[in-house]
Amino acid sequence: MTDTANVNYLDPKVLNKVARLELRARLVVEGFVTGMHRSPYRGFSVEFAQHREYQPGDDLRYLDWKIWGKSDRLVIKQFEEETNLRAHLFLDQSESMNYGHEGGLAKFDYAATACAALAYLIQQQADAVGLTLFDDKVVRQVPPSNTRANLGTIFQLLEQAKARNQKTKIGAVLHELASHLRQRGMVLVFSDLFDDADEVIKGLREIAQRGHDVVVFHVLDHDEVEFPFERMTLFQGLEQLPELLVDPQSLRDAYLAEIGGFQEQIRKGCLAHKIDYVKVINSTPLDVVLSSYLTARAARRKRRK
Amino acid sequence: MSFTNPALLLGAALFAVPLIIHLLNRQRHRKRPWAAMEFLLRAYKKQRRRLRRENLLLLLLRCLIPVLLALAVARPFLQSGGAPAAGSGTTHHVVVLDGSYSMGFQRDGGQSPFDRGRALIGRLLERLEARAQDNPKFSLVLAGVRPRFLVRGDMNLAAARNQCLLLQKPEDAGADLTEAMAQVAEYVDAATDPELQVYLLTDLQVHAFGKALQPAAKGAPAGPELQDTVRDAIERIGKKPNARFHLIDTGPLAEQHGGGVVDNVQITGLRLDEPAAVARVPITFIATLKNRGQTACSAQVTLDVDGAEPNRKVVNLEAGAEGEAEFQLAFRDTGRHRLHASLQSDGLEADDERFLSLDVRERLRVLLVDGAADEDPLRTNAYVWQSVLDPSHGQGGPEVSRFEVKVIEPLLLLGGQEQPAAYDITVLADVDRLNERAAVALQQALQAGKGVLVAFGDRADVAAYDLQLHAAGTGIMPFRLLRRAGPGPGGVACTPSIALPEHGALAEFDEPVYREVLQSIWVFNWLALDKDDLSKDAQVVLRLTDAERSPLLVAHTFGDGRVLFWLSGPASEYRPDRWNRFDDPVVAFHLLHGLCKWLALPAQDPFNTAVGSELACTLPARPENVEVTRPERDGSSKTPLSEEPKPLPGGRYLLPPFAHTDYAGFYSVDLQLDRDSGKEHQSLLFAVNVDPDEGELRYPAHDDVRQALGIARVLTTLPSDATGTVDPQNSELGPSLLLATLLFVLFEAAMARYVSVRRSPA
Repeated sequence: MTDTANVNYLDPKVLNKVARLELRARLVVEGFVTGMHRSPYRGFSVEFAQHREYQPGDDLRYLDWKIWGKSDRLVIKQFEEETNLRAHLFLDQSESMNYGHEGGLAKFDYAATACAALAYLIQQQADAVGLTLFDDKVVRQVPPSNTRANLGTIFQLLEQAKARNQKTKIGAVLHELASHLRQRGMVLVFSDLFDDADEVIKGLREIAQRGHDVVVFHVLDHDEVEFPFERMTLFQGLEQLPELLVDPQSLRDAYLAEIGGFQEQIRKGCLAHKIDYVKVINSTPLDVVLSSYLTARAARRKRRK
Repeated sequence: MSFTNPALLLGAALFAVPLIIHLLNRQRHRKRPWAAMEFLLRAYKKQRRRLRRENLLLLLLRCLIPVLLALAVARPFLQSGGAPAAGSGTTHHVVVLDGSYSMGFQRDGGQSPFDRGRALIGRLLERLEARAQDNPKFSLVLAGVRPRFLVRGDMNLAAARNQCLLLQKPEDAGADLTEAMAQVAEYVDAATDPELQVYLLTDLQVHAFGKALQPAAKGAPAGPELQDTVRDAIERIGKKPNARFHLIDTGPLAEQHGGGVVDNVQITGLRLDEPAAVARVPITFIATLKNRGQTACSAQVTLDVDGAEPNRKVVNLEAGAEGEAEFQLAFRDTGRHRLHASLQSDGLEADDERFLSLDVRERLRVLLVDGAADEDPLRTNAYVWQSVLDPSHGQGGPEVSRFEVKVIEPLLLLGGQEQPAAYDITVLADVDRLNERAAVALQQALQAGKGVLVAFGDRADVAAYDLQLHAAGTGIMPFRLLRRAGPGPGGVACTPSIALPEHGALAEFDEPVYREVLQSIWVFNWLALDKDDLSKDAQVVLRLTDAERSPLLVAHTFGDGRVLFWLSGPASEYRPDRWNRFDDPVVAFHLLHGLCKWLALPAQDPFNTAVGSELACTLPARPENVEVTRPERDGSSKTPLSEEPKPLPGGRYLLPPFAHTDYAGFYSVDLQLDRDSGKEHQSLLFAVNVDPDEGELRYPAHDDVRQALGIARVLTTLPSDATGTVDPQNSELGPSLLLATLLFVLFEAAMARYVSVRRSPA
């Protein structure tokens, strides 16, 4: 690892060069964890709760060596809440997530990387993690589990998944997903949310009302947020929207007002329903994503006490 | 609305350029898949109208600017009232071009008024050629030395244009436009064209308009008789219902409208300080200059004689002042000599030169017919005349006098052995009587331009003189003699009184002291004349102080010569019964010299004349093969004169007339005289000079001209209905459109900047 010691794998530009998603996820988490020792997040820890019998495949880092030394029994340390957390990763793979600015990760790739990293982190913490891919409907699902095999399945799915030429109907999908979630857990939504804002909020509210802790990662591209174009451009709409030939500078202020208004509406909607809202630009380092998750997880634990 | 340069309206097609650029820009775009399309569409929907307005306004401005600019440079104008547009039917355009030499004035090498006039004529012809389908007619009158039609309406336009090309420069005339306009008014009266446009192109120099622009003389009655005929001619033209008159100022101060004076220095004359020039006797030439301008200056005068090494003098002249440059020369050779005085060129070259054709004689030959020749030489008249006029005669040694006196008895004159025409001056000194032969001989001498002096004494036969010289009013004597008068030597003498102090015969008495001396000479006897019979052409130069103020010295011209009648001629001091004391050396020298010098010149010098005058002189025999060589300025080659010479009394002939003296300079006439002894070649040299008054470059204000001529306006270019040229009187819209274009450009720039700032990222 010495050759990668100085590389910041949290930087999406760097990650873009790493092809394999699993590797990417590991690099992100390890980079994050390493940073944690030097970061303001230091001191955060997961509390030990109890032991359980070792199962093949368990992470040997959590083997209680003292007990093995004393009793020759293989037991795994279980931490507080670790058996209670079920994390659901919802990843939007509609066509709009296919967009990415030049030289950067597409939104979907960024979100997929973030999902992979989170899945890795969650699984490392012996929590269960599942994945749902959706566009205008649910495309694939992996039920939550804390096994390595499950993690591998998640990675494989993420590796193979591509943004599809389908419209986003996230509101309806969330409504459908809400009804299928049985056990309470955390729902982490990765999407650009390009749908009717009220429907989106309605869908998120439904999930939150069922007792889930929802964190919305509003994934946007740098270009979508800055709109830095100058030359005459033919904007070709994705998800079957029409195209528009326009001088970008003439519409910049109005466009930023529209998208800013949309973001604000989503944020307020999330705030009103105690849903965590994290605006993520695909040029932002991924530690924001991971630390946001961990903050949300800690808050959840406090509420349960 | 009309346009001065309609072809430039094509520039309005450039309005398409911004449109094309706009369309090209729309083609040159990037394609970009866009996920947040909905937001973009919403933004576009909200901004669409404003964007469209801004873009459309900018495009409109950018398209309009080339259109406005094209309109502005095409120089549109609105026609004002007055000159009618050239309608259907033939319009006859009659142009009068001032051809006087002031039209040749050039300031700092720019266009002269004549060149501006030619350019306007060229533009008029172009316009007429463009409207050839309307069959326009064109006439051109050059108001030069002799106003004349160069082009008449029946000439086609191409031929008219060729004729106009021959007009290279104005003539050296001091043109008076009166005659030119009178001719045009007659022409217009007789014309039957449906429409007539008359244009007078002139520099408005005051001299050309004659009395019309001069203040009326004090005390002179006002009335139509004082009106200038230029005004009359214009009024005549104006009375014709289908005729319009336009006065166009092409002068150097035309654009100022207020008139003024332009500086000019000129040579106004070249003369001798003596009446006649004699070989080897120093003579002073005087070139007179005038500074017509408003600033003092120094002028260098150059005098060259027969093309030899020139002499130069510098004269300082105050504004408006006259000055003189004197040159002293002596001629070795007799005959005709060319003298050419010149100034360094200023804006007006024509009056910077002066020419003089000078006849230098060996000596002035005097034929003295002495009526007292048979008496004691000291008591003869010859004694007086010769001792005064030719003191070195017969003495041996160099001849010091300009006169050579030959004394004869009256019989030789009466018998015809001596011909007065062979001498410069013939003096009859107390000759008692003359016969017909002698009278005829004297007439012939006078007709040949020689001089005659008849000095009466106590021998004169009054009746004989009346018969032969008065000849009932047809002879050379302009009066009838009556009788001897005066108190006689014992009585109270009278003295002369100068009646005409400026007369050339008294040139020697220009100083007051000399006049006092002359007027103190005693006169005891004289011949009285019949005053009632004195010819009006005769001039009484000296009178006596008797009660009747009897004439003492009478001057007259006969033919080309001058004659003096001295009614109390000088006699020798040794004659106690002499009638007067004119023999007094103090007065005799100046008096006899002065009278004879004056008589030595012809009455009119035909060899020095003015531009426009006919070259004329009398010749002793019939001339043949006459050819005239004109000065270089004229540009013409030798001109033969084919007209038959007119015979004159006494076997003389008149030179065939030549009137084309349009330019100043030397005119050389080569001919052969058909003498009894055979053909004799002669070359006559004439000097022709300009009228200096034309060089007064004073221009009246347009208001004064309008008032004086009774016209509505004075233009500085052709009226619009003639050529489409912008007439200052018309409303020209070009400057306003240029201003509007500028405002549009500024507005477009401001608008584009505003839009750019609005649209640029913060």
